[in-house]
Formats: sequence, structure tokens, C-alpha cells
Amino acid sequence: MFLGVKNLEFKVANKTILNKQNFSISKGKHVLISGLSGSGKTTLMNLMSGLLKPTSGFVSFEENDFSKLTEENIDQIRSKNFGFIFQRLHLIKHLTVEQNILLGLNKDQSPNIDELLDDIGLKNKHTQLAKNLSFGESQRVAIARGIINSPKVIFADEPTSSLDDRNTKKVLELIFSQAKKNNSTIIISSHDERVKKFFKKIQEINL
Amino acid sequence: MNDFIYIYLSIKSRLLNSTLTVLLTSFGVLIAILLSQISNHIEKRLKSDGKGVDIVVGAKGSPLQLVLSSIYHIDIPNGNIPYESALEISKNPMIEKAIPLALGDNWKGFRIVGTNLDYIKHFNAEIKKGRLWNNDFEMVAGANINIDVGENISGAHGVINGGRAHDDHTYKIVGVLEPTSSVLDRLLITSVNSVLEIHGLENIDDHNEHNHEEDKNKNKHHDKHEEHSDEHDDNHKHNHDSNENHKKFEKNVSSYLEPEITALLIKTKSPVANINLPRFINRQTNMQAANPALEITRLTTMFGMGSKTLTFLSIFLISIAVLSIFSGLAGNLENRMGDLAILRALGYSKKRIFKIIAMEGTSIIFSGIFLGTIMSFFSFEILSHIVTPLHISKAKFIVNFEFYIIIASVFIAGCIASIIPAYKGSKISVANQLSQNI
Repeated sequence: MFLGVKNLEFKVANKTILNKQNFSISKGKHVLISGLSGSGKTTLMNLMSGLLKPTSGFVSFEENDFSKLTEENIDQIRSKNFGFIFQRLHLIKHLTVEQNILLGLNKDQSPNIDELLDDIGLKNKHTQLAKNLSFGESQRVAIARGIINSPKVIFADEPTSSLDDRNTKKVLELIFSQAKKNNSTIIISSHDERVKKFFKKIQEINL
Repeated sequence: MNDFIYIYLSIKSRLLNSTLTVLLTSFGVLIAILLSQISNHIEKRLKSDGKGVDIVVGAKGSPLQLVLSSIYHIDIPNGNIPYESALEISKNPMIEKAIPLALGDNWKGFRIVGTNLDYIKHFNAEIKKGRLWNNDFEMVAGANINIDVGENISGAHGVINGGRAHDDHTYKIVGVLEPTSSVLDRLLITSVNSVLEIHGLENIDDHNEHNHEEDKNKNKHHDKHEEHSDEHDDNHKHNHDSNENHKKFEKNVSSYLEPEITALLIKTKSPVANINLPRFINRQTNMQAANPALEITRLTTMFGMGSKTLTFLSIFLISIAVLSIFSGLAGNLENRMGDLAILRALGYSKKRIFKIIAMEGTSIIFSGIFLGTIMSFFSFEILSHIVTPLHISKAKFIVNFEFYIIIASVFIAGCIASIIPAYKGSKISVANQLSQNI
């Protein structure tokens, strides 16, 4: 099993944030986690990526049961295998485009940053500070940071929530094209109906 | 990205805050080191200059002034004491050695000291060039005085530069001493008689001889008086001799005053004498005996009040710098929680986050210490050129234990100030932090 969850449940102060979830994802397949706002999509993403510890159940990635690993081991798995694209992008403002992208890079890799910047349409913007970028440019830098590590899994949390149709298409095409290069699995959480048409497998989250 | 580059960029992004913290740290370190260097130098000089002197005898007045003027040559003498009385004191069996000092003149601010060769031996000084004085108005110069053998100089009245010159008498420099790292290096040494002669006082050798002669004359007079009844023929002759001697004495008295010296440096035979002898002198004579050790303790206590103020100032500055590092990192941490959460999400371990934040703080404190140390070195070099006492004593910057203690204390304080926010930053809940921001 590439990535799976079994009886995964998350509670805060006896309040159920995420009901028991069971599913598995094969390598290279893309999954959309859909549901209403506040249904626990982000929580599920955080549990699957090891950023949160479940109340019960477990997550496994390539036969590694997160519940049996130390926090440091999970950090290592995450840094080597997972890429993140956040809704609010979270670029570090005092760093340049290139420096922000390189934050997601493992030490033992040396990607072609020029090629990547060319791919995302930010050629010759290496040294521009993140705080001086437009929202669209920032979004592309966030995507580049999420994929620079050639991750096996790309987690994207509400990547299109504030975009119009044209830009939604552009962003998703960019994510999918970059994932295809690395044969990455994409897991997107979104309540945006426009995103559904890009996926064959949709994991519905219901409380 | 390399962590050092990330730290550098992070510090650079808070350039004003970081620069102010570095400057605060460096000023604190600068004051602390300068204070330590100057205090050490003064303490060292006080010890070396006062070594081997248990009691100073001089005119009544301030005992501290007597000690400062006679041992350290940094104050105006209280006055003079009769040579006769000083001589009497020096015969006391409790005294191992007594060195007379006759002060009162200077040459270009360097004090002229009339003394005997024991004063040179007292400092274990050796001749670098020329020889010691054999005759009056021959002089030996300390190592720090820019003068050469064969030069002639005229002293000026007073112990500081600018007094009336004694142009009618010149000294000949016959020797230059090797450096002793003591007060001797900035003195011009000559015989007591030279100084007395210039000031119109009777030569101490003549005075002794005169007293001796006077005694002899008295005895002679007495003998002759006994013979008076028997030898009437010789009466005229006796009267003639006696009159001649009296005339000679009157001539001496009219042209020269009784010899006086400024002070007597005494080394006693036992510590008990250090207590008993001053008591005796202060009660039984018109002179004053001062204990240098006691007076210097008083002086350093007074000086200590000033240095304590500066010590507090340096501690205050360093504390502000440390608090500034703490507030800079801790306050900034709130704004950086999102950034740190991203780094954690990207796989940065807690240890790595801790290291990054702690190293930011220690880099700032290290820069402050480095800058402060460099500044203190150059400041001390400048001070040792422009502050006369430091200049003439050739004060040098010394890397001693206290220096390392200052550096280590500031660094440890800075590290503690960095560790607290670093620990807090490493413990953030990534998911919660990201959820708050999403």
C-alpha cells in the first residue's frame, strides 16, 4: 500500500473533528478530498502528512506506520517524500523567489532551478523578493516550492479557493503537469466544484 | 537551503533591530573591558611602585597626599621636614632602610628627585647608558624621559610643568636607566645636595660636618677654657680661633638655611614596626608617618566607587543588549510562527528550528562581542596615547582572565536569551499554526 488510512479519527476535547476514515491511495493516482467548509478536509490532510497525530487509527506510507515512528522519522519522511501547496501560500516574504523555492529542497538533490522557473513562467525572477510578487506569481512560487523536491505525494490545500475560472485551470494544469514529470500522487482538498473534473477518484469527507 | 544562509537572511531582514542589538552589546563589552584594563593597570602600578615601602615620613598634613607625592609622584608634597629630624628617625632600630627624598622641581613635567643611590637600588634599576651620579648636579634619567647622556638641563620650580626656571643651576645628565615599569621610569634622579643647593639650603654633608665641627669647637673651647687659667698667653689665640669659627658658622647660617627634605621612605624590620613606628612619629615629633598600604586602600575605595558606577553602566548596557536579543527573537517569533510552521511542514525538524533561532541570537551576540572587543582594543590604544598617566607608564592592553570572564559572561547571557525563544519556536504546533493562517 502506497498511502492508506485506517479507522483514522481525530478529536479535540471530545469533539469529533474527523470521523473514522478508511481508504488507500495507489502510487501515481490523484485524489480529491471534498466536503463542505469545516468538514475536516485540512485535518485529514494534516493527519495523512504526519503534521497531526490521530486520536485513533493510523496512517501508513510505503509500509511505514506513522503511529510507530518518532516525530523525527516522520519529519524525514515528510521532507523526502511530500510536497505542500497551501491555500494562503505562506511564502517567506524576506526571501527571494529562488530562496523560497529552495526551502523545499533536500540537501542531496540539485534540481535545475532555471528550468523550473521557466516552467512556471517566472524566468529571470530568481532574485525578486517574495513580498514584491503579485498573487499569481506568488502562487506559482508556492507550487514550485511544493514540487522542487520531486515529491512522491503533493498535498494541496484549497489551491483554487480565491481564483477565477481561468486561473483555476492554469494552476491545476501547472500542478498536474509538474506531478506528471515526477510521477507524483496529488492529493487536493477543496470544496470547489470546478476542481472535480480534473479527478477520477474523489474522497468525500462527511461528518 | 543552507541554514547559515537562512540565518543571515533572517538577521538581514531585521537589519535595524539586529544592528542596534549588536551595537548595544558592543558598547557594554567596550565599557566592561576598558574598565577592567584600566583598573588592572592602576592596580599593577600601585603595587609595583609601592613595593618595599612600609612607612613614609613627611610633613604634617594629608597622609594620602604624602603617600601619593612621595611614592607615586602624582600629587603635590605636603611640605618639608628638617633633615636633622629625619636623620634622627632613620637611626631608629626598628628601621631596616630609610631613603631620603628631596622634591620640589621638575623638568618638562618630569619630577626631579634628590635622593641617594639606595633609591635606584630600591627599584632594582640598572644603568642603560652612562653611569650613576658621583657629584652634585649630575643626574640620571628614567627610561621614559626623552633625554640623553651629556645633555644639560635646568629644573623649574614646582612639581608640575610651567614653574619658574632655576637658570642659575644646570644639571648634567650622566646616565639613563633601563625601564623598570615603575614610577622611576619617569623621574630625574640626583643627589639630595643638588636639590638643597638650588633651593638655598645647607648641604647635608656640610651640615653634618658643620655639626661635627661645632661639637669639636665646643670641646676645643672647653679644653681651652680649662687651660685658660694656666695659659694666659694663649688666651688671645684661643679667642682668635673661636671668633674665626663663629664667623664661619655665621656666614653659613646667613647664606644657607638648615637642610630640609620632603620625605623619608622607610622599610621596617618587622610588621609590628609598621604599627608602632608611625604611632611614635605622629605623637612624639612634628612630622607625620603614613602607611602606604592603608592610604592606597583608602584611595582604591574612593576609586572603586567611580569604577563601580561604570561597572553598573556596563552591566546595564549588556543587560539591555541581552534583553534586546531576547525581545528581538521572542517578539519576532510571533510574526515568524507562520514561517516556522512552513519550515516544519517542509520537513525541518524541531532540532533544526531550535538551532536556526538559537544561532540567530548567538550570531548577534557574537558580532557584538567581536565588535566590542575590537573597539575596546583600539580605544585603549588611543587612551594610552592621549591620557598622560597611561601614556607615560606605557600601558598595554592585556588579555587576562578577567577579559575572558567578560567575554564568556556576555556570550552565556546572550545564549540564554536566545535559547528561550528557540525552544518556544521549536515546539510550535505546525497544523494548528497553519490552520490559524488558513
